[in-house]
Amino acid sequence: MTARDIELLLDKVEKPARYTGGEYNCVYKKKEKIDIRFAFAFPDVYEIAMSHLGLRILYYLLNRREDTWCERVFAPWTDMESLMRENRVPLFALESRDPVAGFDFIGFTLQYEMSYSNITNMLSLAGIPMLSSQRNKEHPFVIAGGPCAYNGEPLADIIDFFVLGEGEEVLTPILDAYLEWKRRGGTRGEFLERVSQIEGVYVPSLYDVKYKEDGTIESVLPVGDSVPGNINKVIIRDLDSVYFPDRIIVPFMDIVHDRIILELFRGCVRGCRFCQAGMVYRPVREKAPDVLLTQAERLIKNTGYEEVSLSSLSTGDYSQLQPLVQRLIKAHGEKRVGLSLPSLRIDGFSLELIKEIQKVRKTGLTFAPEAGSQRMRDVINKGVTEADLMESVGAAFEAGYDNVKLYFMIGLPTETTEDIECISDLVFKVVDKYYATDKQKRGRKLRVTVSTSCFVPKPFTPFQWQPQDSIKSFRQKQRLLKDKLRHRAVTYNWHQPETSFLEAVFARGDRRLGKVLIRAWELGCRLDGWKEHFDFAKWNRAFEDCNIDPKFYALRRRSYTEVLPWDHINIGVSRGFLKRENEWALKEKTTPYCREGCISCGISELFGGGICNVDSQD
Amino acid sequence: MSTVRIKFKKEGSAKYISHLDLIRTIQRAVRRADIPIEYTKGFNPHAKISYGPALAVGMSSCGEYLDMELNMEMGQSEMMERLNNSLPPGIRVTAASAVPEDAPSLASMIDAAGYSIAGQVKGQHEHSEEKLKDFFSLRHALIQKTDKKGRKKQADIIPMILEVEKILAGAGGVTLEVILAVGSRANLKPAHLIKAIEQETGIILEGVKIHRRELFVKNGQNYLSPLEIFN
Repeated sequence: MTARDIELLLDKVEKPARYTGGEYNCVYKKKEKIDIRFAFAFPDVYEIAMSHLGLRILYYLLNRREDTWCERVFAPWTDMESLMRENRVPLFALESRDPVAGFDFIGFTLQYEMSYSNITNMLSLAGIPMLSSQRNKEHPFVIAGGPCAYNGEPLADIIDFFVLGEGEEVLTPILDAYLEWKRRGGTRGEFLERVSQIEGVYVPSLYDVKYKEDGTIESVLPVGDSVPGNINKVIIRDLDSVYFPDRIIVPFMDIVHDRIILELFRGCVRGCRFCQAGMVYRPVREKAPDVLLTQAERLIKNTGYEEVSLSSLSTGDYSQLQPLVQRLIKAHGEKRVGLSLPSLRIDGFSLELIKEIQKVRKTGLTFAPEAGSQRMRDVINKGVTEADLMESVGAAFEAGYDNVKLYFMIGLPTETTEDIECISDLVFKVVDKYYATDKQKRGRKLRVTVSTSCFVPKPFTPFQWQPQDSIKSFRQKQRLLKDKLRHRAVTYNWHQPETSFLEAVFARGDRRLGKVLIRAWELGCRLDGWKEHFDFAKWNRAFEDCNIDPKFYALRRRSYTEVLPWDHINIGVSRGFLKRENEWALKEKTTPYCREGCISCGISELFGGGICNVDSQD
Repeated sequence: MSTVRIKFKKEGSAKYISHLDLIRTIQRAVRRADIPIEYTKGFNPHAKISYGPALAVGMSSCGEYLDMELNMEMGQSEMMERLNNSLPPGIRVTAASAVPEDAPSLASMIDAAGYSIAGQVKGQHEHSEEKLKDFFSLRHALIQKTDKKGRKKQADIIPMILEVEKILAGAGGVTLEVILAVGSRANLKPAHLIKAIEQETGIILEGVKIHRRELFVKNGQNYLSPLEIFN
């Protein structure tokens, strides 16, 4: 295989810019001077992968090391995959076009469960043995991080080791240990044992899982004395001083988030009970506005991007949002740099802020009430009221917006038909609000896009013990909403419940599911995040062939005494806190958000206190 | 306010950038280079840059053009240097010149483009050169084209082949250098020329590489480049 062979394939594919490399700011190095070849692997296609902030950070962080060359590798679209298989072109890195099978590391980021079939498919295209136990000294170490790595058990037989927590902290000691191991010429097992000592590294093959007769877990125990019984995640304590790139790759083709992402803070002060990110990314750590302004200035200068997104789990909760927005506009508005504010909480929204942003560019607005009734919002601890939503939406309409998106979740614990009906009631109150707005001020044509996703109980959340709603019930609820939401200004979008069902299986799955993943790949499953490729029948067959009942994982209520597949992983938020939150949810009792007082989630104990930004502000 | 015309190359990996993506790529390079570009008014301002006829994905070129409106004077050599420092590999500015105020738009000026077409003959390649020469002396060659609405249409491509500069064929493959009509009145894509050759001569070209050498404005009997036209 040569670069020329790849060139011939590029002439035949639909979007060759996915595979060319050579974008502005991508990194090339001299191979002879490199000790570690690292492939940052995102198990989805280019447009999705390149939008990911973690890739943007870690790519440059790794490339700061002179001994390391980090390149990118993504899932090919089906047209490219067929051509690669026909012409025996193995999976290659975008920069060097070298086969990734010859690299030292392939690091997957696990952002969503439905990308798992792309991991198996990418390993197959690379010619790397699927199972960790089949790999030898010639093969790269296949590692993984990201939110799904906190319960990576379904991938335990495939991934050599997981990295738990913030990669900036843990990758350096891993690579240092690797160099030392490579120089000594040790065995693969020796390296795995060595890294299992590093804080934040989880080597699944060093743990023995025993099961009870009813199929639940009896115990998860480390093999050997030197292997830790529990694995703690790692975090960056000071976000102001941690590395953040001053440039990002500027893709040729349009990607999903084609803009600069400025990370205002990590963690979340809210405690929505369904939200895994809100738990696993704790504690809250903010960046100072001065730091953000400097980062924005450098990124704008080095990329030429015309838009900066102020990103975080809940951007509206950034304590100095208003002054930051004003200063950014003052510094860059003249150069036509627009700002976008995703994930704004309804109550954190103000008319002044909309007006500030509107000076430069007008973008759509998204609100996430998550549930229709106040009762349901109390269950999930989404501390937002109908009055909050109406006030914000009213302010937006008065400022001339006429395009609003509303996000809801269905299938939440304790949900009734009445709660679903409240979703459509709320939507029509928003519609009425528009018509009640002064004609001179409001935009010309109202568009309300309503999206409902199907609730997926996730590990490390208060709802980790809850059963998921059945596919049949999801369908009924969607039908009800389809009927209710008939209005010319309203568009209703819904998620496929089959996809959400599989997400629930793998999110809370154990390592017995590894064979299902491999079987599904054999049956041709891949690109499951894409409607046109998702094939539920194949997945069902894979479960049948492996004699595994997926409902055991998705639809069963788990008891507090059950050993959960991820119980040996410690994210800092305590099991006791999650249990209390689950019980309060059932009593419709809300928990205040962190700024109103510490709710004792446990995170401070893990890191010795004084780490939450919100603590220091009290 | 002034307008500057830029000539640039698009080669290597950059030939896989579509026209729409090129527009975005150039716009960002212009911002990185800090060129004093004029913006449109309104809620979604964008840089005032206009382009010549789009180049198909996969085609390389050393004769692409764009016009930029500036809100401040800037020396051409400084502008070229700044742009070249800000462009991704494969895209290079090779010339720049001021555009007179009353000049028509770049896209409307262009009448023709010069292409180099190279490929291998599938199967027997004897007599290819004669066959190709015969093809280019045909009086008519009809091909079926599909318009934007999906309707099928017969079109005679011979009047749209404006010049034949080189016909080379042998064991090493085929090279053609031609000037083809471009624009709203008459437009011949190299792919359609290749199709007509196949239809009329039976020569099937494989591994085709197409390179656009230059864009032309017809001036009497002469073909001038979009920069030469103002000299």
